[in-house]
Formats: sequence, C-alpha cells, structure tokens
Amino acid sequence: MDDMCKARNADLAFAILTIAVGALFFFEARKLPASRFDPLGAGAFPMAIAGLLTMMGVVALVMTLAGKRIGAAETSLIVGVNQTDQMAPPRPWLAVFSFLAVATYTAVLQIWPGNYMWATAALLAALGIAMSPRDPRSAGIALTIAVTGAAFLDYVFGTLLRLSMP
Amino acid sequence: MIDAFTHLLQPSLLLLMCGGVFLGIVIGVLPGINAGTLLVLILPFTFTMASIDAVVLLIAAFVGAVSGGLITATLMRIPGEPNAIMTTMDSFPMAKAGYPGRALGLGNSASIVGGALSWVALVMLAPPLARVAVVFGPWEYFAIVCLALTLIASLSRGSLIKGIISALFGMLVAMPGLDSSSGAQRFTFGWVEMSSGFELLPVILGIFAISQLLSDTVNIDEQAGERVRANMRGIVLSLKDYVRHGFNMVRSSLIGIAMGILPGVGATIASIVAYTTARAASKEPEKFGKGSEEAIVAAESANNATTGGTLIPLLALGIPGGLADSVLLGALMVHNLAPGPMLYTHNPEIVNAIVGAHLLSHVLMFAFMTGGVMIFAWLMVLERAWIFPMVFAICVLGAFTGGARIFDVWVMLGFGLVGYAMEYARVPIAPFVVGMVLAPLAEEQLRTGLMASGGTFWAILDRPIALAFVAIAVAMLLWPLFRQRAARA
Repeated sequence: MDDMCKARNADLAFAILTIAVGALFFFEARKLPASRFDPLGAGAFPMAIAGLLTMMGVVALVMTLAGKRIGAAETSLIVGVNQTDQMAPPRPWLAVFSFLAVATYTAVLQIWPGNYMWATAALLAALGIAMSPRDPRSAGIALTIAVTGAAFLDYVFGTLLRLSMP
Repeated sequence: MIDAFTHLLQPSLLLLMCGGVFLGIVIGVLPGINAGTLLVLILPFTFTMASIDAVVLLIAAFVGAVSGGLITATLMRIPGEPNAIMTTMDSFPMAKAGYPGRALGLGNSASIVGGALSWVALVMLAPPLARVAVVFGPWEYFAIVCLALTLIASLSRGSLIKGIISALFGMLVAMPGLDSSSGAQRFTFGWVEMSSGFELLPVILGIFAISQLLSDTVNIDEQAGERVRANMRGIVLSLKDYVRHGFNMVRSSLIGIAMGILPGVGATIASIVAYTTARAASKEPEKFGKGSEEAIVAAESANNATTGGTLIPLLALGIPGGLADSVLLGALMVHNLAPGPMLYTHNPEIVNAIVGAHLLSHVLMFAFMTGGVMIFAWLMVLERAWIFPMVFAICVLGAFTGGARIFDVWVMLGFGLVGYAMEYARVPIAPFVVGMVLAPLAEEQLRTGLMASGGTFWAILDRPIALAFVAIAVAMLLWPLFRQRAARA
C-alpha cells in the first residue's frame, strides 16, 4: 500500500470515527434534562459541540470520498528522529509490547496494591531489556536502572513527597 | 517586582529554579521528550509543594527545555526540541566547519536576548491587558475562548478541518461528569468513576506523553549519523558581536513575542518566520543553510522570545496558547489558582513569582549553557532505552497521584492510544488539549451570559468587544477558504 493510499484510509477512518463519536455524544446529550432557571441546561452546550463535531466529520468524509485531501498536520511528536541519517527499521511490536507491559503493570497494581516497588522494578526491567540491544552489558544496565529507578520513585513519591502510592 | 526578585533569590527557590532549568536543558538535549511532556511529568512532583514553588519550578523547566534543543541541534543535527529545527540548518554546518563553540555561543546569546526582551513585553503588556479584562463580562469571555480555539485550530499547520475536529473532540472530553450548574450527571455511561469526569492530568499524560513514547519506541533504533565534538572556543560573544547582531536579535525577538501571544502559533513557527525574515533582510542570504550567524541568531532569539509572549494571554486572560501553556494552566488549577485577570488581584505574589522566575530562569539558562555545555554534550550519549522505561513509570505515577485512583491510569492509557491514533492520522494534538482546558470556561460563561440576558443570544450584539472577537474568529475560519479560492483564480 503506498503512502497516499494509507493516508486516504487513515482520513476515512478518522472521519467515520469523528461522526460516530459526535453522534454518540449528541444523542446522549439529548437525554439530559432541561433546567427551569438555566436557558441552556446541562445538555445544550455538549449537544452543540457534538453536532458541530458530527458536521465536521461529514465534511471530512465527503471530501475524502471525493478524492480530496483533508490535509495532514505536522504533528510529528518524534522530535528529531525523522532528521537522523541512519534509518533503522521501525519496531512497531516493541511499542505494542511496551503498551501491554504498562497495561499489565497497571492491572497488577490494581489487583495487588501495595507492591509498587517490585512491580515497578519488573516493569522497568522488562521494558529496558526489550528496548536495549541483545547483549549481557545492556541487560545488566537495564536491570541496574530497573532496581535503582524503582527504589528512587518509591522513595521520592512515597517517602519524600508523601503522596499516596498505587 | 523588586520584592518578587528578593523573594526568588531565597536559597530554596533559587535551588528549585536551578534544578528546573538544569532538568529542562537536559530534556531539551534528549531527543524524544519535549517541553510539554517535561512539564506534564514534573507536575506530580509539585502536588505537595507550595504554589509559588510549583510555578517557579515549572517556569524554570519550561525555559530550560525551550533552550536545550540548541545543543543537539548544533552537535548532532537533531533538534532536541521542535523549535530548534531552523537552528539546526545553520548551527550544525558551522559546528562541522570547526566552530561548535561559536555556534553554541551565538545561539545561547540570542536566546537570552530573546528571553529578556520577552520578559520586558510580559511586564509591560500583561498588567494593562489584565486591567482591561477585569471589565469583561461572560459574553466577552465566551467570545475570547471561541477566538482562541479558532486561532489554535486554524493556525495548526497542515489542516484546518483536522484542527477544528481536534479542538471539538477536546471540548467533548471535558463534558463528562457532574454539571455544576444543574447537578445533572453527564456522559458517565453508568461508570461511578466517571461522575467526576476525566481529570486533566491523566488525559494530557496519555494524549501527549504516552503517545509520544509509543511513537518514539517504534523508531528507537534510529541514531544520529554524525556528531561534532563540543568545545568552548568562541562560546562567549564579544560586545562587538552583540552590536553586529543587535538589530537581528531585537527584530527576531519581537517576531517571537508576537507569535507567542497568538494562540496556537508557538516557538517553532516563530523561529521559521524570524529565520525567513532574517534571510530576506540579509546582505548574504546565500549563506543561510550553510552556517550563517544571522540565521542562528534569528531562530534562537525568536523561539526564546515566545516564552514571555505566550505567558501574556495566559496570565492576563487565562487563555493558553499551546500545549506547554495548557500544562502550565493545568498546574495552576491543580494548585487552586485561577489564571486570568483576577490572579493579579487575588494572588499578585503568584504573578510576581511567574514573571520574576521567567527572567531569572533565562539568566540561569545562559549561565548553565555557557559553563556546562561539555556536561550537556556528554548527556547526548544516553540511550533512549535507558530513559523511556523510567518515563513510562513516571507517567503511571503521575496519573495515579492526582486523585489516588487506578482508574485515572487506565484513562491515561486509553488516551495514549487516542493520541497515537491522532498522530497516525496526522491530527494536531494542541487544539485537543486547549479545547479540553477551555471548554468548561466557555460553557460556564455562555450559560451565565444567557441567564443574564433572559436566554437570548442577541445580547452579544450589545457587546462590541465580544462581537469583535467573534468577527475575528469567523474571519480566521473563512480566511483559508478565500486564500484557496484566490490561489485557484
């Protein structure tokens, strides 16, 4: 699939999703009760926003279906990465793994609260090893960062700042 | 103001500022994490701090992060911050030609001039603006929020439609929870946790930090091809240099201040405009892109000048101009402070702390960047694999500590995916964040205005200032269409 086709599909998906979200909120907002004292009530403002969102989604959909581009913002959050000279193959599965690891870590903290330090050390170790090159030195560095990092966060937030910890 | 500086020179606050500036420069040096993300990550650390300490730390980090991108731009041809892109085009060639110290010195000196001039603008413009804003009624506030959202959406580079959708989507995200006026529960979809709505910090952490981390993780193996060894030769400019580049510094700083005041424009566009203006006015335009001193000075003066410009509407009106300002606004709200004209009346000590910290942070930044460039250059060897896991863990902790709810961590992860999808679909994120921050204000002011006018929208016609804001907003929306039509004709 070429870049143009990918961009068009992304725009289509974006437009459809926009319409769906806008419509969902619009109909939910209609259910909200009116107020005797407040001319707008709780539902009118969100309904207006959702209505506008749906309308913009329809405009985006029509434009995309008509073969027109709806534009592409310069969002690149990856500061500097695109300017590098040595392009390495992207690792999407690493991002998926990282996300799942953080989600699992959150679930662990929810199910077994009070194990912040060890759960964090495990997360940092898993992510550090996955992101580093496959050699003993890098694994050693990742493990060291994991243990010291978890202890650091636990101490700073829990002991020093006295914030409630998961 | 003198009292404010005396207060800020207390050892504890000075240390906090040094820490903030140092951390900001470090983050600026590390590609992949930028000023907005840094502020979001610092926010949880400020929960237990006094309000003044918190704002001082955040302002210092903001100034440091905006400036730190210069080092990687010069030595690695990687702009550590997006606003250093134009700097990269000339500072790296100059460094490669054997003058890294000179390139860093020019950038650093331009940065402090830009920062200092923007501080003057902040001191001169924000108080009168706040005095005018005190008389604003609900219609004026509603209109100014509409204008800010329209500006930020229409000035989002690339796509007006996507910018508007992003802002509207952000506004919708602010809607769930208890409606303070009627007491009705909105958009909770049966979830008890949703009765207080989405907290700002988890959403910003998700949409901004998590999505950025995921994006960066995909490209984690990419590395800079060339590196130039740093040296200190030429890092301190002579008076003659300041005189030679003085006009360029002032002109570019004024561009930066003006761009900073406008919502949605920000430091990156400011540096591009200043760079282009400098090239147009230069006697040696052919040198631009090949190591021009004028180019480095223009880009760096402008991007640092936006730091003061952007604080003007934030302090005087409570209107953020972009991502970093939205986080600053969120930080003030976390500390029960309401930015806007009343901040000048009710919490002048906070205003003084912000204004004073802005200037002192630039002075500290200049000292650190001049004296510590070798240390910061050394930091460039840090691998992203060593940093990213810690940033993920800090994000989780940051989302949790605000409300002590794991639910907020799930919210952060959910919005992380939303942010990543927006990045993939090339939808700008800044309008989303500003929309979320400003939606409650817009709704509250509209409802108050309508209650006062007996439910008629026509009351806005009796408010010339509000009407002018609405007219500008409409013009901003229609301008791209006219431009398109004119281009076709």
